[in-house]
Amino acid sequence: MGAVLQDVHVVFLNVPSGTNWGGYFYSINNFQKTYVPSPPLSPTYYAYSNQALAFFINARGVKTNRGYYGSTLLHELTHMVNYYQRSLKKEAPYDTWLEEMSAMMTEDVITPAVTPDHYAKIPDNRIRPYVESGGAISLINWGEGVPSGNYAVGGSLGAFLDRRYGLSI
Amino acid sequence: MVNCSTSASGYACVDSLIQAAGGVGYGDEFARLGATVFGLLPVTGTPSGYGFPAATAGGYSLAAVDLSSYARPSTAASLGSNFLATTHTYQLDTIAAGKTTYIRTGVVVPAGAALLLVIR
Repeated sequence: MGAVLQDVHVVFLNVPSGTNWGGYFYSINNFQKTYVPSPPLSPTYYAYSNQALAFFINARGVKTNRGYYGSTLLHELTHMVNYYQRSLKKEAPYDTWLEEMSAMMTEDVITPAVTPDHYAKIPDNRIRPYVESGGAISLINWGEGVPSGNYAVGGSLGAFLDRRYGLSI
Repeated sequence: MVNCSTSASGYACVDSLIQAAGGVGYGDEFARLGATVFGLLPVTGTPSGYGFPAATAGGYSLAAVDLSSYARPSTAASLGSNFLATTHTYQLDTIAAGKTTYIRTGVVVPAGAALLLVIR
């Protein structure tokens, strides 16, 4: 990455119906195709990079629920910011649970303020599923439980801390 | 959060930020969250430090979340053979109408865990 301002690309993909992801950020795209990483990564690891600051959104979903996917945009944007601030500048990425919780805290704080219908994703998509799960999901052991359950407890803790401490956390 | 020490775990990062903001720490907040979520705490009448009350964060308005209408399983999900760190579980006891005392014995709290009692 050069020390110049770069556009951020939001790519709306016309995905098949039934696609089970809402959006994603993939750090490989931050690198030039010719960049050769250190082992154990393959020398051609970045060969398929899009060479752009980009994240991808499920266009089919956007058509049906703008608020939800607007929140997803903010979630993925947080991953992009975290990747630069932690993985590149400090060479110290967050633990997975904290990476995801921070993205959901962005959704909790900012989404209702910037979506036309003041959409709030956290109550029905994070807290309610956590209540209904019956617990038994270890947040810091991300991946030990059902993935959606990990998001549920992470989003719940993030929203709880947002209301307790605001932007201090 | 982005300024947390590069050598600190995620847990230590959040724990230190909570303490810097005046809280006790991660464990205390996680216990409060458990009482809030599985106690189905409402917005009105809930003690300070519990529930999801309306708040502001850096100029943004955060809506309250009232859990009193949410549905929780009557039996908690199985913990399996391990009670891993940062995990919630719960047990519900129903006290018959008109009773003024209730005694439960044999409650074991694992080392490092917190037990919170929600009476509704």
